[in-house]
Amino acid sequence: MSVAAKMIVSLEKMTKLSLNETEQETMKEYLSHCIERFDIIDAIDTTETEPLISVADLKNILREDISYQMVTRDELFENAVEENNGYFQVPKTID
Amino acid sequence: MIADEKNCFVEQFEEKAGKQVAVESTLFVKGKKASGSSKMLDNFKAPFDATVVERLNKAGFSIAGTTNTSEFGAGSSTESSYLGITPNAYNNSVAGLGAVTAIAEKLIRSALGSDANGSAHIQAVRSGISFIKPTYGTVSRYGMIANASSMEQIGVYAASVSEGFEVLETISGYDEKDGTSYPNAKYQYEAKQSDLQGIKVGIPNRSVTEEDSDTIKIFEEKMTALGAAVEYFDFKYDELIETVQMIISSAEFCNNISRFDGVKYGYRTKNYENINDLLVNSRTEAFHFETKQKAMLGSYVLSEGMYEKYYDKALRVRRLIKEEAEAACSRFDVVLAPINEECRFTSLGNVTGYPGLSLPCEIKKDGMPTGVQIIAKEFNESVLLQIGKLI
Repeated sequence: MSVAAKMIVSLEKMTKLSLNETEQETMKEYLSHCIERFDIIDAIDTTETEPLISVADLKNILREDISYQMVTRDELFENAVEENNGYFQVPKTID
Repeated sequence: MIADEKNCFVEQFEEKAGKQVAVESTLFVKGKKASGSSKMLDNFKAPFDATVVERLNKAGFSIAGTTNTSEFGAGSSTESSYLGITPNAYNNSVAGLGAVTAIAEKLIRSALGSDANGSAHIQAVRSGISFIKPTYGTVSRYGMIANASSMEQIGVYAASVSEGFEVLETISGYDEKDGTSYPNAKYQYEAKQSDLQGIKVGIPNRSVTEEDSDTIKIFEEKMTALGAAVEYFDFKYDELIETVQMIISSAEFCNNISRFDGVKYGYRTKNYENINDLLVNSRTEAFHFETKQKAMLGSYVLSEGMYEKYYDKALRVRRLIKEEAEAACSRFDVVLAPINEECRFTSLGNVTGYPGLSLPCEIKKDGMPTGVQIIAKEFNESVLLQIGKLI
């Protein structure tokens, strides 16, 4: 199955990425090739099989609810792109 | 400082007393750059130590530095690294991994790295060294830049199998900071015998191509001479292993890298007028095309109308593959298969969570060593050590 150009544009929106024309063509070919390969699993009957979410046979046991300081606020802000008065600064989001 | 002519290291740390172990750039070492070999995190400093780093330090090892890998550890080689290619130790025209080449070039003896698709094993044998991927959930992934969460596991690259297991014993064991960590406090790995008497080795039919036959023959002969019983068997669903790995890992990768947006940390574009431009342009300018391909593939298999057909289906087939692997590992102590891109069993350990050990041999292809992977049932790393030490 070949992937339509419309699908690539839709995927760009979903992944918050922008491709140029050459990249869009390459992406189309790549996705079409992958999907062709993926169709192999279609033939397998899995109606009686449950999805395997995790290979680890673990129950979700929560740790004790004890607070601790993992990193300080200052340490976190060391990596901030732009900071203003203890907040991460980004462009205006509401008109 | 070690002379690093092949671009193995992202950063070298001050040498301290203790055995030197390097870690891939996807692992956090407090205060040091944790770039994940991506432009996105080029200026990112790790705010804390990864659990594995903390454990190595506590046990008296010295962290030699961070090594070059694929962007976010999601690819198969340094082809997608923002820091350029690290060549294979034997063939300069082939892209390798920093940790592997550094060991093969004798700059260090061991290193930690993650593996989500079996490529760590491929890279290891092609540079004549070993990689140990332990059972999923036995080594904490806390403090590692996530790629494909249910497939990946931190493992050890090593010049010798014994040294690799010494490092693995240090880093493994329960960690409350990792929700997928098994509750066993400590794991001990030991080779119980000095031969392979009583060990049953299964080689899946269809895993060995004509090109691999000489490599397999070498291992088959060595194992038989040491007392192992080698048998060929059928592994159902073998042609689906790679497909399942690709679908699930791309979906997980797509979600994991959605955190990189240039808002709180990481690369931020200069070219924006509004928040959407900031997100799109930051990601577009920072990510390698290989990363974009994988993210879009993941988004596709998770999208409306495709989720059931691909992602949900792959999860169900994953269970069937795991059941088949359980049956194989009940019959045999280990499953042995060639290790290369063409082999259907390369990512079996990632799909099932089973431990695997890659072993190189003297037969070469394109000037690089070839080798095999031996896979055991979960928590059975000791049998891998026993075989690895003797072969």
